Amino acid sequence: MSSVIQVEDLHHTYLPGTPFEAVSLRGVNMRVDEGEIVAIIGPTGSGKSTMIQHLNALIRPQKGRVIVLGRDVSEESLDLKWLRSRVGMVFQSPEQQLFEQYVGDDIAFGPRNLGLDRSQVRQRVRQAMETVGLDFEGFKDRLTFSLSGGEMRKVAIAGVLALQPQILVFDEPTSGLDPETAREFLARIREWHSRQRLSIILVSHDMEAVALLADRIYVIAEGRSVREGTPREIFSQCDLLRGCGLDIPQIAQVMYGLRNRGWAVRLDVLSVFEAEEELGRRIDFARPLAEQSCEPVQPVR
Amino acid sequence: MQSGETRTVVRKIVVAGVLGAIITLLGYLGPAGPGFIPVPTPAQHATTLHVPVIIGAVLEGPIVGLVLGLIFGIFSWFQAGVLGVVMFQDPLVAILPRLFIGITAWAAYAGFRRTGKYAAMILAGCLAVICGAFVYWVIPVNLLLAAVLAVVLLALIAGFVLLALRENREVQALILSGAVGTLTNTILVLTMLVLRGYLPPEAALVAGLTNGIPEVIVACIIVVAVVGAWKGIEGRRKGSTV
Amino acid sequence: MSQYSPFGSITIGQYLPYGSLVHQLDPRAKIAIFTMLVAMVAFADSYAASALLLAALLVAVHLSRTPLRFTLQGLRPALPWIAIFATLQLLFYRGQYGSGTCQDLWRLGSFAITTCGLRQVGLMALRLLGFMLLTSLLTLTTSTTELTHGLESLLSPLKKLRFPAHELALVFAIALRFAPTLGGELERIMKAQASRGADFGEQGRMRFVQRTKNLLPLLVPLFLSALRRAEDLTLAMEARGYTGGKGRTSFIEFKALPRDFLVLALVTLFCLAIVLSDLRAIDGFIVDAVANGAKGILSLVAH
Repeated sequence: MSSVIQVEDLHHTYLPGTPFEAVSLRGVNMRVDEGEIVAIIGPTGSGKSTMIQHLNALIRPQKGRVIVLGRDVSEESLDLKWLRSRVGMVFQSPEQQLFEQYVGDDIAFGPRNLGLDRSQVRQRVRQAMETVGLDFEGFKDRLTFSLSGGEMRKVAIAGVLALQPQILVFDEPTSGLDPETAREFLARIREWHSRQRLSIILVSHDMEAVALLADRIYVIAEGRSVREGTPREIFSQCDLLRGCGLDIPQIAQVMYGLRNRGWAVRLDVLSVFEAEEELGRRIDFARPLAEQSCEPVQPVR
Repeated sequence: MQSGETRTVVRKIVVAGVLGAIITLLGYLGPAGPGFIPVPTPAQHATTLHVPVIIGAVLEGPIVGLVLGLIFGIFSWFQAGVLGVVMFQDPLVAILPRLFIGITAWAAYAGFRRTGKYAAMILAGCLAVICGAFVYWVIPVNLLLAAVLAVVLLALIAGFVLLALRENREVQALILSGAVGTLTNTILVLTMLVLRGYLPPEAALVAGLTNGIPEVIVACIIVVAVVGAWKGIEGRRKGSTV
Repeated sequence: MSQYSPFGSITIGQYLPYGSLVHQLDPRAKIAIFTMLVAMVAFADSYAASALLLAALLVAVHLSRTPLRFTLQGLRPALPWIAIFATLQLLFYRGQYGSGTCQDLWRLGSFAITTCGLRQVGLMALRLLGFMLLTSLLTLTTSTTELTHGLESLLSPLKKLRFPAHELALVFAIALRFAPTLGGELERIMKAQASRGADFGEQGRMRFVQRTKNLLPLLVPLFLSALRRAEDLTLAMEARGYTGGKGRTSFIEFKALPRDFLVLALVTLFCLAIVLSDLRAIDGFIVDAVANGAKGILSLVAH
């Protein structure tokens, strides 16, 4: 499987040489293969946002290499419009970037910037709107700012999808969403992923979202890639994560709690469903709980 | 409890504050940022710093417009040293004229929305007379300049008349306020520059024409886009161009 | 350097805390002195007065411990502008200046450089230098918090006349507080739109109308974001029981020291002295001296 993104030893300092100098990246490494969903987690200020802004050349590498779809991002001659049509970036609270009077025009902004002709633009807008679940005819002529918050977010995302990127980057996709809407949104991301073989990068504090979607996780702290692995591997290292100021999915916390009381349950559980299964295996709910033996296990913090 | 009254006052203070923040921001970012638009005229830049003043006046009234004009003026005054535009270090040039931007913009906006077509036509007529007098006064100074001035003023008044005749008063009112506010800025500032002896009248007229017109167009575009989005105003087009 | 520099770290004003005598003055005194001197510089009508004011300002700059180099550097961007405007005025100036006739120093068709023009330009230059020194003196030695509170405090007696001093100060405070926030917001918006292929900073030969339209994806979201914050802030202020400026006390209070009054008195006397004495008489001497000197040099050069 070929890699679509490669980040090698990336360094970055804000405002170098001034009194406000701040090092944000101290050697980050990352690899994303085609068709993967990779999550990046880390405490606030760890440099996650800085790193992903290299992926579509909003920031150029000061030291280290970033290779996207085979092209080095530091190249002077790099066609930025091409890059940004291949790497779609959805920022946090993307509904704040809307500016056009009418929905259709805002979504068309991206394709128009690419120089496509009228019918191509129309087709792209239609497809993008259908993907996010907005009826084309019904919404394209609506006043952008008369929509609800959720609808505006869909419009913003459609605006990115209209570029038809191969790689999608989400910065805090579920921020500001209630749990049900968040779950729905994540399901959609999973759908787009499987339908269009996209490579997806998620930066998030929402551990449930990460547990649900990610194939692999990178843990970034203080500007360095600290750990890499599958969700099961990463979330079973609770002390490491806590040490970084992160937490684990709530369901995993339940399993940890049980383990500390002597129940020999698996820790690498990623969903309530799995937890149910696991508990069903370990515990016979027909018998009184007090009678069931606790195997002496090492307590886990 | 006069909560309704307080709310309006609080809102005005806050709106003036945030729009003032935008003025400071746009000005601070300088020619590289969105505060300035390069134009092919001697002055090279049309500024957009007066636009928040107009928007504030249109949304919240003449007092907010006055305060924003004050902020614009003070900021322009203090930044003049950095930019090097020394004549704006004189507070009579930097601050005094700017106080009126918001007031005239609001007056144009509110007045146009309420007047009927006929009142607008009468207004246009009066403006034509005033402008005619001005041109007549300029003739002895320089004939060519007077001719150019006459053409420009005629075009402006014709534009105003066309606006008055169309439907959809909201957008027209916004365009008018943008134009009036900007012209207030240009005309009054240049007048002060001449009165204070920094600039000869000929140069002022030339600068006014070459820089003023682009600034008017810039202001109108932005004011209509922003206020239209905020208030949900439909334009001529009812729907996207997709 | 990256095209999208972090606007979030904007510092408004150039306050350099050197802790000098000038820095330590009560901000209200400084504002009062500033206002007086601004009026003096604005309306000075003789070389002598302008020169005296300039001298006083230079003394103040020295007292504020601001490095001279810094001040001079600040003057540099102004020079081309002074040159341009001076030239224009010299060539076109036709007015009278005070009493006495204007002699032509040089003539070409309808353009002439007269002594009156020269005088006008000279005064203009001195005046502008005065303003520059004055404003940088104030901003370098007084922080924005001090300025806002000082202003509010000074204007508060006007509250009796229903002048909204408190409200005005609040507007300034809100503006200063939100400028960096909106700056960060602007940066975010710029990045989001650039990610969709938008074109901002590129130098293009586009017509300025198109240029303006290209700025809308930046400006519209910025304004909307600011207005939304205004709505939130309005609600928040009300929720915390804000009902206007009546009877509000401030956390920061200023105590005027005798030294502040002393400085204030000195400056007032200085200004009065300038206003009351007719310095135009001295002007005559200065102009003659300069003119004779210039003629002398020219004749030397001509031979």
